[in-house]
Amino acid sequence: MEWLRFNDTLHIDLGILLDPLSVMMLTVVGVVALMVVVFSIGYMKGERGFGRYFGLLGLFVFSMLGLVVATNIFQMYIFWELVGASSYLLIGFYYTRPAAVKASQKAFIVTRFADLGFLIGILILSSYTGTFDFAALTADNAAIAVGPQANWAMALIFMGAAGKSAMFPLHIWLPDAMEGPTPVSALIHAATMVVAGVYLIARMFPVFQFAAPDVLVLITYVGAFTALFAAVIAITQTDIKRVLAFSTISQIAYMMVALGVADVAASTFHLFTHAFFKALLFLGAGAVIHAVHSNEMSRMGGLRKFMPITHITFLIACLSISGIPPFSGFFSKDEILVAAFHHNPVVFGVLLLVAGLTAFYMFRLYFRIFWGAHHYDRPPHEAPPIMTIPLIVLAVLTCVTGFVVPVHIDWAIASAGVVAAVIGIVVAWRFYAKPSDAPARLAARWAGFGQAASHRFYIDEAWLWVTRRIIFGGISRPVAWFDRHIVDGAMNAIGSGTVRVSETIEPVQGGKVQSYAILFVLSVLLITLLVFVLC
Amino acid sequence: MLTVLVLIPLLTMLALFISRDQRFVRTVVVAGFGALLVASVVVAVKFLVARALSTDAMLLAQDFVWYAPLNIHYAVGVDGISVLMILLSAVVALTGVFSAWSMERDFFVWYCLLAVGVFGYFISLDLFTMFLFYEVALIPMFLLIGVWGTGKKEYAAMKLTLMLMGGSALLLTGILGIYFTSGATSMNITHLVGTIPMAHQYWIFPLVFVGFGVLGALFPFHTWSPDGHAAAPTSVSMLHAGVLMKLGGYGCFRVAISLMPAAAHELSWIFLILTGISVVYGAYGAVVQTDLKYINAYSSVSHCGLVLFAILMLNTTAMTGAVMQMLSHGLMTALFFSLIGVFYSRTHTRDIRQMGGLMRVMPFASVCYVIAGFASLGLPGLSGFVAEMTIFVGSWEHTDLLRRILTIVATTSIVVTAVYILRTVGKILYGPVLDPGHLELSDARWYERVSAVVLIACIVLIGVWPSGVGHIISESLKNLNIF
Amino acid sequence: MDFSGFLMMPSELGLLAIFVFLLAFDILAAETRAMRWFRPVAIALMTVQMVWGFFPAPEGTAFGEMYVSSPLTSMMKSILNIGTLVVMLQAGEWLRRPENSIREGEFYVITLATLLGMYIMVSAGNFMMLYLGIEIASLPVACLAAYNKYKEHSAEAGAKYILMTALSSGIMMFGLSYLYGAMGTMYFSDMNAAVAAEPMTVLGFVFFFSGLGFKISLVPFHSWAPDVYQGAPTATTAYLSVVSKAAAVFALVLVLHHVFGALAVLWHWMLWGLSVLTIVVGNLFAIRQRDIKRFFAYSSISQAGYILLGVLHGSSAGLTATLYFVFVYLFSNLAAFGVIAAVENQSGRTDIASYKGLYKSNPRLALVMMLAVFSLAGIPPLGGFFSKFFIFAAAAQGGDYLFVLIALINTVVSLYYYLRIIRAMFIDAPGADAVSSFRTDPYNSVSLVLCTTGILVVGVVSWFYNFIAQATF
Repeated sequence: MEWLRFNDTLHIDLGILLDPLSVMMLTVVGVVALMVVVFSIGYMKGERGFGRYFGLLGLFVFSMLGLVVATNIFQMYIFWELVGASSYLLIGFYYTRPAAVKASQKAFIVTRFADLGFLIGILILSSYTGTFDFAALTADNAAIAVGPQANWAMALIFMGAAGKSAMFPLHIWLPDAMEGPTPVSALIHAATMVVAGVYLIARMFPVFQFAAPDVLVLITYVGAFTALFAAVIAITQTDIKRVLAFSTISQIAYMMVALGVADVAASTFHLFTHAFFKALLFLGAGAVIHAVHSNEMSRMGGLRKFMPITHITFLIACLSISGIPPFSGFFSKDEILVAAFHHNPVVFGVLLLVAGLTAFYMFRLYFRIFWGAHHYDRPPHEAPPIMTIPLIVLAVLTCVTGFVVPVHIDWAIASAGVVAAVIGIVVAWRFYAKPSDAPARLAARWAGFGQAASHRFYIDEAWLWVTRRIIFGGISRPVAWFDRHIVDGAMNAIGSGTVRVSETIEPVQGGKVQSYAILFVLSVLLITLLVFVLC
Repeated sequence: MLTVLVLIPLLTMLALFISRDQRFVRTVVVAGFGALLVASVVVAVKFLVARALSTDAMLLAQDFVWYAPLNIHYAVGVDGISVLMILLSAVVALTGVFSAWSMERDFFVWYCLLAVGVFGYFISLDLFTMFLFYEVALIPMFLLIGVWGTGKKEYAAMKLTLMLMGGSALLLTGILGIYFTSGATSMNITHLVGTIPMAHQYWIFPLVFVGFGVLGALFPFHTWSPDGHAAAPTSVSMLHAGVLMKLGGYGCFRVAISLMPAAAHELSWIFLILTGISVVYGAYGAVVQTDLKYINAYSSVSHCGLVLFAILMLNTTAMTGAVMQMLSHGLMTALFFSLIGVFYSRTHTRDIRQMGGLMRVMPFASVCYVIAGFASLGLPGLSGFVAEMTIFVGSWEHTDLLRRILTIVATTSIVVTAVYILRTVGKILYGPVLDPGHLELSDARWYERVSAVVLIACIVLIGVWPSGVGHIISESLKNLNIF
Repeated sequence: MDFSGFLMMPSELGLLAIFVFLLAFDILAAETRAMRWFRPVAIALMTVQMVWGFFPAPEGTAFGEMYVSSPLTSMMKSILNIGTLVVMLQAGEWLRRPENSIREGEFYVITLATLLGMYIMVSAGNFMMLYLGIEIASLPVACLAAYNKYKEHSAEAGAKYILMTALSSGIMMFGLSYLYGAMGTMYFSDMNAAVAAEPMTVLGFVFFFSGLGFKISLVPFHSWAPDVYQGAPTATTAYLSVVSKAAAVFALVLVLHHVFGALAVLWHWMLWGLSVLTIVVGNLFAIRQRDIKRFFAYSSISQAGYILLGVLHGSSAGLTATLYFVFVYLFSNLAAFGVIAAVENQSGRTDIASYKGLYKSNPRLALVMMLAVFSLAGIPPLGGFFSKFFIFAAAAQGGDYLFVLIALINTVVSLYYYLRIIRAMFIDAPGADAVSSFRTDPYNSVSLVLCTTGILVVGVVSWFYNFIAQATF
């Protein structure tokens, strides 16, 4: 269906594209959204703006589905923007909390900035291919010339994807986005919207492969770096949702690496499995937060006794994300490791390290929430069924989704991955399951690094500096000043200058008739003179 | 037929002279502008019917000799672009009436005169009558702002009037130039196409373009806009930013570009740079403002700059985008100003630092404001998106480096727009209620709601069904054969 | 002796008859109750004269080409008639005041005498005749200016006027003698054939021109105007600024066309310079004025600059535009002076500050003033817009785009000070001593209605322009 025609060749269509990729995404979005909605009924009960919440959720799901089934890149861009906006509205759901408002603005503006790249990429790409259509772009005989133009276009499109999928250095909005209601984080900032970047690149993959292989290399390195970077930060965070947020960044980076090393199947498979266990983690975290009314790990501990269902499902998710067989994460992660191994050993090494770190920080989280001891003023209680049932469903899915795709397991690499994970888990168990001073000693030895990591390596501050100092202080204020004082000043000066001249010449009209007469006679003579001289 | 559009506000104005009490004034004004909207829709329908039968550039045309010695005619006619502008004006004018519910009779008298000028301008084909209506539309502004405005109203009214009249001084020189260098046989736009010698186009084009550009907020002649909008009463801001600034863009297109395409082609780079500056400059300027109306005024500079920018790209796509942007900006800026009026009438401040958490107190107005903000920052599904995208795609059709760079520069404005819109929304609507006195405020009244709902409906309509207007515009452009 | 020449000049004879009748009325009925009828009678007679003027007059020359009558001259006289009638309507209320009532008749009689002089100026076919007309039209005005002789300003205005008139007449006469010396004739038609760019002719022309420039109040011959306009009674100021100026413009137009056509290159540039100077200086001085009469003095100085624009190229379109401009200017300026007269009679004040809040107290007067001022500023759809447009079109037709641009930018400046008046009336809050609400004198109301109609109709209805064009082509 043609929606808007630009010129003879370019037009935006709205259509529905169903292929394995989009169907897979539709499944993910549909299932997770359903679970989240059910969970929210319990979680949001009694909140102000209950109706608004579900309205916005509906808007988001609509936009996300539109994005998934897009037949062309512009349709995707349209819904891409819409999910961004609904994400903004949902993050800022608690609009009376300044932190939530700030976070929502940050999320929108950072992704908007990335989308600027996306848009310019679309413009470049469409201007020389003459189409927006995915089918035409990715056809085998697509006439896409390799060259700087293609590289620029695809790199800019990747910028858009990186913004949405929170790749370094555009990741800064995602941790803050946790200010939104937790089910929203589960849906948008874990399972669906943030993987839109991965989906976009998977969708456009043939174009990357044929026209811009250099960009794939870029994607690989950005992905690998982000995976490691986010994992390191995740270790130091104390807010459980932030830990999960950095873990999300790290896992999406995994998917990006998979794309970069040209294994679309592995990437999308991980996307698929990750969606369920990460949603589960978030919803579990939501249940915990709902029970103890805090995000901080230090306010938790020993919850396995109070919240058994949450505990078990959370454990399943942790095992899955750590890549322990037979949970789904094991299979998909293994795929990626294999692909990376065959492509680039360094990247493989990094990913292996990240796998270990992932296991470590996830179990750090797990042990600190559910083990140990903590005194509660009011004993927390298990969530109501409306919240636990989605957890159980997701847990089941986490267990089974690994088997939906028949994969060939490279046991050598798989065992390396599992070993890394087990090491991570064991260390976490040693550190956090029982009271121990090991973390403190370690922290003391690596004080500077730990400090930096817990401050997320000051990336936020750097961005803040850019926006405050450069955008506000360096551009906007001078522009506003310039406008008021130079441009407007010039206009006012014309006005006041005229009045000034008027004041200056006033005495000429002094009221003395003698001087008038002299003026008269002199003027006549002067005119005569001028006439004689000039004519 | 088209003359009805001028007669309705004129008769409304005369009817106002005999009306005494407030109720009667309201009835007359609402009836008058309601009739105007109906008439505009009828004109649009008639136009579409006529379009199907004819390929003339201008339809529903009528022509009466006025001043024979100077070939001045009263000639009217419309194409798709003017029809859309008429519809926009009718919608904004009517909603403006609702936003000016408590105003006195004299206010509406000038308001009607303004409408006479606006509608006359959009239907005119004759340069003289066009210019006449143009000035008729400008002058009432002085009194509307000067008498019913707030703040530095005298200064603002004077500045606005003088700057715009300065623009029209350039314009009139240009119009006389067009007439006499083209052989002094006609003032009708449709007859003048292609008759102006190239040597003269070089000096006439800048005069006309800048002349109209002043009203279209062309950098550096935009400074009347912040002061003027800030001082004007709500509905005047709405009509001024929503409709009057479009007179500038429309004139640039209708007169400067379509009569002098050759000069436009040669000289466009100068003005492209200026408008490119307008686009980002307005956006950055808006970021640090603290007065709601200043924010919107700078935002208008940016958005209207984009209109002129697109016009100068001289191709059908960008031009279509320009007209869409005019419609879109007209609607959303009217919405903005109407809501700012709602806030201001309750809180008695427009300083964003003194407001906060209004979402809780005035949910209806706040939600509308958020929607307006989204339209402004180009969210898909609202009108701003389609307009901006069409413009960017159109300007990207040029392959030379200057236009490419300028397009990229212009696209960055969408990020900056997001910054100032969200900053404003965050400050005034979100967060805790800052001023305890604000807890008692009432939400928008029914007439204010009517105004907002109508505007939002139009914004959404264009946003979700852009090919409706897009088709009308591009067809008209094709019939003009200038690109 | 051949009296047939008089048949050529019915309007002059008619006016003379009215003049004589009113003079006799004034003398015979002095200080009797019959004086009550003086004003209606005078106005009725003037109306008849005006209406009569529109009927086609005989065309041709009389007294050996001393006197010329053509559709153009009849048209000019009709315009002057309308102006005079309006001034008479406006003057009545002031003349009825106790301190003036004893001299009421004088005003009408003197005015009619100057009008006769202006007729002669317009219809002159010989420089001596023209000079005679100018003197008849000028000297009595001094009496009018000094009419309120017990008021110092008025006496001063009269004195200044008479002194400056004498000076300018002297210079003009001096110029005429040069012209005569150069060409040996004073007849327009003969001179037209003989004129050449010789030094003596040029010198004579410039001197002569300065004399007319004085009447039109062109810069730099304008310096008397503000003082006289301010000091003289308002009705006199109105008369000076409109009718007297119009007559001088007409005379200038005719002389330039009929006599100095051969010197066009020369006077084109001279007028160019002088009109720019006039517009700019008039505007600059007008900005700062506080007295509304003085303000209108400067405003009408700058308006005179625009009038010259039409004359510049000597084209018939320019001539039409000039006449049309004067016609519209007459209504606009007289409407303004009508309001000034009404306010002055009520409050005795002429400062702009006294107009603050006028719209609140006297909305109709304020609206008339607004229309007048907007028309002067050239705002559509009022007559002033059209007249300015035609003037500019005439200049542009000659290729003077630069001048058009300068003039147009000056209209923006003029708009600034015109808007000051609007601002005072509509926006500013009335002061403590604001003019209270009052009823305007019925005669003055008639004049205001007439002027307002003129402002509104003359532009929109093209008949007037076409009518004037007919006479000038």
